[in-house]
Amino acid sequence: MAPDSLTTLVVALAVALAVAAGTALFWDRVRGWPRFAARPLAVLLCLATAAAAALVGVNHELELFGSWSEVVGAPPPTAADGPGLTAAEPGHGSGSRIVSFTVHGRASHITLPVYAYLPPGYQAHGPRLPVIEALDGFPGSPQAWLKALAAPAHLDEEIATRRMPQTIVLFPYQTVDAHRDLECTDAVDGPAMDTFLTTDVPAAVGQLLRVRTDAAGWGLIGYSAGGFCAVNLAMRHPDRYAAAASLSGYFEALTDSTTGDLYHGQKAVQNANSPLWRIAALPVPPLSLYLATAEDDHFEYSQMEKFAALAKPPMRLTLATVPLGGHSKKVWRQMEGPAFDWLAAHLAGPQPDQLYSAGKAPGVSSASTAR
Amino acid sequence: MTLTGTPFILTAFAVAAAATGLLAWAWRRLRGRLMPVRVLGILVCEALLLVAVAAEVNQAGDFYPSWAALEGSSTTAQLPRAPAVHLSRWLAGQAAAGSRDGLVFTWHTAGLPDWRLAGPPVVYLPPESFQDPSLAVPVVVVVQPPGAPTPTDALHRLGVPACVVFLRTTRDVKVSAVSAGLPEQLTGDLPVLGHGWAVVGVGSAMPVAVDLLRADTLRFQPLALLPSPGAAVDPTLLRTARVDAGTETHTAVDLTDALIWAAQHTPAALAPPLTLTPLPMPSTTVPPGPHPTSSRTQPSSTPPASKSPSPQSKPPRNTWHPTV
Repeated sequence: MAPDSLTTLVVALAVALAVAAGTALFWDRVRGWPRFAARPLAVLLCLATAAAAALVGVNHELELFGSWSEVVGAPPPTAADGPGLTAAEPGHGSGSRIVSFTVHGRASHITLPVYAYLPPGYQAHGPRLPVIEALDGFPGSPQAWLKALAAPAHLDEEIATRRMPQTIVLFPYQTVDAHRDLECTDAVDGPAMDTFLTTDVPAAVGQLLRVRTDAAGWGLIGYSAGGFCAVNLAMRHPDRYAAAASLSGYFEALTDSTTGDLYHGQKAVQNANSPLWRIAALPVPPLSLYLATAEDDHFEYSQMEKFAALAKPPMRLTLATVPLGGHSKKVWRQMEGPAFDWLAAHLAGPQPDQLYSAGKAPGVSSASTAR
Repeated sequence: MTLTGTPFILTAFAVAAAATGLLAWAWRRLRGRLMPVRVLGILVCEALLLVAVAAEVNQAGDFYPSWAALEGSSTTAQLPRAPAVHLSRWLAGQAAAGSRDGLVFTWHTAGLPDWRLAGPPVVYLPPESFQDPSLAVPVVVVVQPPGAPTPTDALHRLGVPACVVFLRTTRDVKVSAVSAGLPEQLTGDLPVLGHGWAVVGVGSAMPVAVDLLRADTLRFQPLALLPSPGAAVDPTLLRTARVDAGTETHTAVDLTDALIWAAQHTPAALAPPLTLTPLPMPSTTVPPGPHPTSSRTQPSSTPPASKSPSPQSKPPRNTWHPTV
């Protein structure tokens, strides 16, 4: 019974109702001195169970915590100890699948599960497909994309209508402690989430799935804190990603009570994780960025305006808005289809695995980092 | 009373407190058959308190800044418009041949004299453009020396659907006119993506290809260079492309290699995307120019020499293609 399941929600509501009924029924039956303890306890139980039911309801709606280990601040359970893919959900009618696998990060020394959307018709010996890494907000989990935002259904629709080509979409965990927002950064003296997401995950995916291995075929998408992650990681690693989409993201390396001290006072590291600083102070990388926000999402809208004012070629920027919705799931569900379509149009498409031989040495390719 | 205003939050807490007070006042009267009312009272008080707490949390997080944001269910993703380009009708007439092998034709377009090329461009459209006219295919621009042949065999080995445009340069070629005019005319005439155009520079035309890339780094992205037999690519050219224009480069062994690499570094052929309300940004997209008057090379296709449509009679431009 996962914390985000309907069963948990029903149980939580039933318990809250039972405690309220018990309080009403037994209030007058407890007499004498015990009532001075029992009655306040009953009131507290009523409040606690009601609050718990509300929190379970919010979690069910937003998919903030997908497992009980995340609820208590432990790393999420790994899907499989051995190498290989595990079916994470029953197959969809469309033919797409959600699988999971565990990434044992050699570079980051982080071990976390990753979910992957495999499009209809995916074949282990077919074309090498483009890849999008989808990052969630905080608090959040891959289940937020998979369930709350119904990303698989959106992707099925976009691919079926040929607004997207066959694409693999990854849903990695982006923190080792669901109570701490690591902002997808290599925290000073802390977890190296940037390295995990941009080095270890692609390396593992390259071993397990039929994917493009060049930057032209890799993109990022994220909402809220995940939007910040998408733009920050793309700007930090333009040699690994060609495009990124930020839905209601911000562009500064924020620290607060949820992040803790990520940078230990090292301003240079904080700046290096701040897209607004990077775009003003460093050569602009040749990235394609899609920035979307609701017009009434005031902080994120102002952040987007600041960033857009500083962007210049060779960065390719597309801005889009929805008029209403604030900073909410409703907005991101509206945005994800257009954002996935945009990413599809700014990433290299599926690559047939045909090796061209002209009877000569192969050509030499090189990626520019322009940093 | 605004959703995130202090008056609403205070009111919510006051209502919760009043309800709790009322329940406490009526508590002893709610016995026997009225016991369910007592239970209901507890649940109502809990719900009101949770609403007040939720309003407080919403104010702190600014999740729903207004009642409209909370209630609104606007779906602003715009369904794509049916594509139509100047040559749609002519392409439909070539569908029988084109859907099998694609189509190679000489493309006469407005503004051509300003580009100062050795002749009109030769264009290849893949079979997919004829099989599904709603698709926008990516573009590969091949910049060749004058007199270079069109490698029709190589076009069938690309592995992915792409429109290939062959330009034969001259010493007087005007790159600025080409970089502005070619996208304008091509996106107006043919169902192609408006961005992510790969460039191939061949032999003595390689510097022109790099100049084209630098002229519009937002549109032209990967670059394949094919030096003349026995020659090497000038390192300065490579450095210019990689560092100044920030593009990925590839040194090819022959034209087929160059075309395959370039085509496979372009986006997929796509149907018009869903879009949100775009915000104005500097864009390379300009109003469509007049039309094609084309003649053919191969197989037996000749786009019609039509009149320039008036602004009123222009078909909808393929603005579904994302611009930069």
